[in-house]
Amino acid sequence: MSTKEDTAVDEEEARRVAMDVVRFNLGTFLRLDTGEFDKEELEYTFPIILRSPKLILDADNENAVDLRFLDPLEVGDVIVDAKTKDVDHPTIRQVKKELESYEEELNQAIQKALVRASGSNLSHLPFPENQYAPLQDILSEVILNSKIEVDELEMMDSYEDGEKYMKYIDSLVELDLLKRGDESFRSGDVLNTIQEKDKFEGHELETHQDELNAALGRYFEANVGEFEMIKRTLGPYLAIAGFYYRRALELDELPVIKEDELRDGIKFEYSGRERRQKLFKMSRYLVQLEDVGVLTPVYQGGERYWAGDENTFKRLKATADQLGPVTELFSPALTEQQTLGGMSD
Amino acid sequence: MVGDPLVTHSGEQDYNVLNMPGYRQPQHASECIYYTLWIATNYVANSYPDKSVRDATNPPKLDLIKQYIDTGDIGWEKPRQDPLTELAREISSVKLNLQCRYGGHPQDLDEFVQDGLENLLPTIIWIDKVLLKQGDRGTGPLHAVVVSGVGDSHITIEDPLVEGTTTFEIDNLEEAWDPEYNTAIEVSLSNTFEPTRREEL
Repeated sequence: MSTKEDTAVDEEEARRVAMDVVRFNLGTFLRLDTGEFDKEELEYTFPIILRSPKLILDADNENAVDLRFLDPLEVGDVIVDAKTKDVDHPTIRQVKKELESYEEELNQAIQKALVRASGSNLSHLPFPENQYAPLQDILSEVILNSKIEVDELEMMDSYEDGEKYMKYIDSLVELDLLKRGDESFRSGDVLNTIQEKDKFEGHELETHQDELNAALGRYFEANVGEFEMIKRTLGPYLAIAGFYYRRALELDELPVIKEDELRDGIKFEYSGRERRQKLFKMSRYLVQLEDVGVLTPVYQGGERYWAGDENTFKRLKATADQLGPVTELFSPALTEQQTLGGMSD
Repeated sequence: MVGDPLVTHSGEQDYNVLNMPGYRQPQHASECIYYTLWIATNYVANSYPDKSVRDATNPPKLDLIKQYIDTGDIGWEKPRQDPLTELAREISSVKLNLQCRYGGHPQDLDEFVQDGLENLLPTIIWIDKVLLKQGDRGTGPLHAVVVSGVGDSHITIEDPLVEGTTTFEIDNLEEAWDPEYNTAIEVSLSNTFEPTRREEL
């Protein structure tokens, strides 16, 4: 059996060769993790790791107030042939692609948390025609007539050639918005509570539309697993609000952000023609986010800035343990980190 | 003050430090290389004691430095001597020598930077800030800072992320000095000039 002793290149030398390519063919932020030796292939593999440094900026986006490091992320491997010393390593472009995916994962995690934290607000946004129409059909019927027949739903699905209606039922029952009977579905306890009250989760319930919005909000908050579908509906709103609340999480306060800067939320999320379209509609998105209370305009020195909502922020922070990679971005109030100022003369 | 290369240490240390212009790095962590090069070369342009050196120095703007050096999400990309040589040619009065050696230089950090400081010139070094701040080894991205003074037990740097100077025990900073290569950029005067020795002041 082959062993390290049979090879021309020992681990220390292999590491030096691997480090040379990481440092001089890639970049100064990258380091190498502990290597492994493959006895069959006679090669060493060293994972390349990156702890991305993140400068936390002040509310004006002008000065760094802290420097944080994300958890180590593997961005590829360097493989060193133990006989020939040949090296195989990713290109700069491949490493950057890995990073982009991770950054997308971070933003998506924040957007998911935002849906969980503010579904009841976001449900007030005007949805595109038909996006959630079946869900709205079911809930409206139960709100006005207190029940909906199973036969009717199955008939509608057969007309639509798919499970457009029935696919929502299990979730609605689980959320106690519906109660399952033999031949019909009735309003569940949560929906009954919504209908009985004047207020639900801070929102006035004056009209049936208010009740429908409250029930939809409940659905969004609980069905983040369906995120891709929610995102198709709320995409640009989540891109803008997610950008804002990511900064709020980093600073542990609700910053006042220039309107122009919020456009970066769209730029991170979309490209090409779609980006131009969404940027053109930016004002409408902001007006609607203001209308549902997720962002509020603030006027300073003749310029318009935007600030967040205290309740949304509180609820967003409360979901911190579910945010996965996002937690490393949190301000020192949430994770113990040293500040830059602590070291200076 | 023009032509005044030394100032007293702002803290408790009894050594003087180079009179560096501050320039805070506001946005991207990877841009530390731009700001440290700017700080070091603008010091030569404005504070070096020899007027002929100051007059011959074309202090680079950040944009000029950016033309020669690529940075991004993985730090300084493909670090090598060539772009530094070309940048130094634009500045005219200085040489910028990239120094790195796998396993570290034979000298300690204080000895390494002392040659430059004796000639009233700074040295840019790369440090592992994760190791320095949190004690975690082997994972931190490298960050460039400028060494502006050294004493018997302490060393002072200009960190573009920090307002003012920062002082460490030499051993602590040395431990965090690029653990693989001890990377540094030595700033020296081009061959036309004779450096001013610290004791000549």
